[in-house]
Amino acid sequence: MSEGARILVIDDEQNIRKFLKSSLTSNGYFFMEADDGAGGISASLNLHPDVIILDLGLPDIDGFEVLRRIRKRSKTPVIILSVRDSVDDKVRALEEGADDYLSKPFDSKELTARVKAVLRRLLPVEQKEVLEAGKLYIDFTKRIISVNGKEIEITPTEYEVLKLLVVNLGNVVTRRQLLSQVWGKSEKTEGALHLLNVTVRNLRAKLSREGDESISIITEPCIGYRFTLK
Amino acid sequence: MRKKIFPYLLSILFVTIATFIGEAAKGILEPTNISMLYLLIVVLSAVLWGMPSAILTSVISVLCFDFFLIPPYMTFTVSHVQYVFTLIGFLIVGIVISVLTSKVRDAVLQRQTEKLQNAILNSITHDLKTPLSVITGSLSSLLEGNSKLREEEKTILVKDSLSEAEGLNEIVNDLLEMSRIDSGALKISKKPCDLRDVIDSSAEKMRRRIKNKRIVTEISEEIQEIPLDFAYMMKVFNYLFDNASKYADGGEIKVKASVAGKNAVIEVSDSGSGVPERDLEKIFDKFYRSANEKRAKGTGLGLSICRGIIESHGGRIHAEMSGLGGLSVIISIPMEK
Repeated sequence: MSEGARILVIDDEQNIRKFLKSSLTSNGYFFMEADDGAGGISASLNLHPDVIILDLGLPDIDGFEVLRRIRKRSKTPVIILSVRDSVDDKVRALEEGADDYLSKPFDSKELTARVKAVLRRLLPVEQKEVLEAGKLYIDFTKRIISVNGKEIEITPTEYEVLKLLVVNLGNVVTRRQLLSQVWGKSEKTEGALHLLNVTVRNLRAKLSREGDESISIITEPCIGYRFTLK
Repeated sequence: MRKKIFPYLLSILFVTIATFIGEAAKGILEPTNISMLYLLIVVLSAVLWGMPSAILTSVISVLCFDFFLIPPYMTFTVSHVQYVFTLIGFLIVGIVISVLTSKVRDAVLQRQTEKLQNAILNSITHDLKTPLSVITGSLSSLLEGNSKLREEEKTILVKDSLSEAEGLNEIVNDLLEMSRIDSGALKISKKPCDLRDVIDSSAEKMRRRIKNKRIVTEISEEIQEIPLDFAYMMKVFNYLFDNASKYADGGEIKVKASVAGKNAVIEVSDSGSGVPERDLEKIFDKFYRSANEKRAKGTGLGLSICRGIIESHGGRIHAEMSGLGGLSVIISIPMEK
């Protein structure tokens, strides 16, 4: 249950912490805050948060350094917030151990969705029977996927990719994760990325054929893919 | 380069013509009267092309005047001392006219540029201040009438503020991107990419924006991997698809890609109302917005940003009228590293 989960926000802007407190507590989470890097690092160790929301633009210590120090001691999921939205920053954040990256300004609903997605990952892997995401419906036991009530024909590989994306709804799934979990290949293998691209493209075509506007597989350039509902 | 030599060549031509006229009038008019003709040409040159060509005109005029029209003819010597004064006086007057006339010309050009700059600044001011006005206005109204407003009214005020803020964010991003391009701070990192992937990713991202339009792709088999910056190329297609959706209702957006020599040529065409022939190059100007369309939202920077990104890739971009009646944007990108 993600209700009551402890969220630590590390951001030096008071007004940002204010609206995050408002948004997170209204979603039933327990809100904790720190206004600089040093405070954030110590809070992450002493207050046992379930999720950490970290702003990169901190006044005392470089945001990436704070991330590194947190990662050294814990596996707590970290969502990065930053005004910078270049691909390089996003890639670096994920390589340094962040679980997701949201650029400012952002919709509070978007952040809530990412927090939920990251918490879902923490749950013990239950043998779920079905999953509903918008108009998409997956029956894991029968390995059937349907959109708007109509079953769609997909290959076993496409099923595995879609399943991984949907289970991580809202969160970015890196190319590395997809390649290793679905194909058992590494990114560097010749033709691996191409294989992944083609599979996602076919999936998009099949999903959009049903004309559902709400489901999207968004490309995060040079990082991976994200399944979203709008 | 050609453009720069033109004024000088034309000036020399004018001097030649004046000299012929002078030759014809040799017996009839005094040389000093003919010199007025040369001064006229100096003025003409100054007005049309500015100081450097006017000064060239002055010097060549004096030389031609001396050689052809002052006795002894066909030499640079003069038969009478008075002619030395004529020539010196002529040269001085010529140069003074060149300088003064070109100053006036520069001032006029300056004023035209300022007018254009003001128009652009006014446009940006409007684009930035309008959403801010909605946000400030809506939120302060909310605060002011908090107890008296119904829930739906409050929700509308908040929703409007949110939507204007999102629009403002896009404008700010456009301005930042344009700034980066102008200051040369745009960093492209090329990696071999599948063009189909770029187009597909962009189409997916823009899906809600494009709504009722289909994107049809026709990509030649010869196109394998191209060295591109994936994220920036995606931005280019985002802008192109966004434009096509803004300025073309219904119909489809066609993306064709093929190989031409060492380049990949990509054509994005829509079936909208298109752009008049004379504006096909202007649409790439910063802040250009088509005058006849109802004022669509956006900074007018999209195509200039696209050009900046494509040129950073070593490629070119231009527009033509599309066969479908609308606009066709054509990109050419080198396929080798």
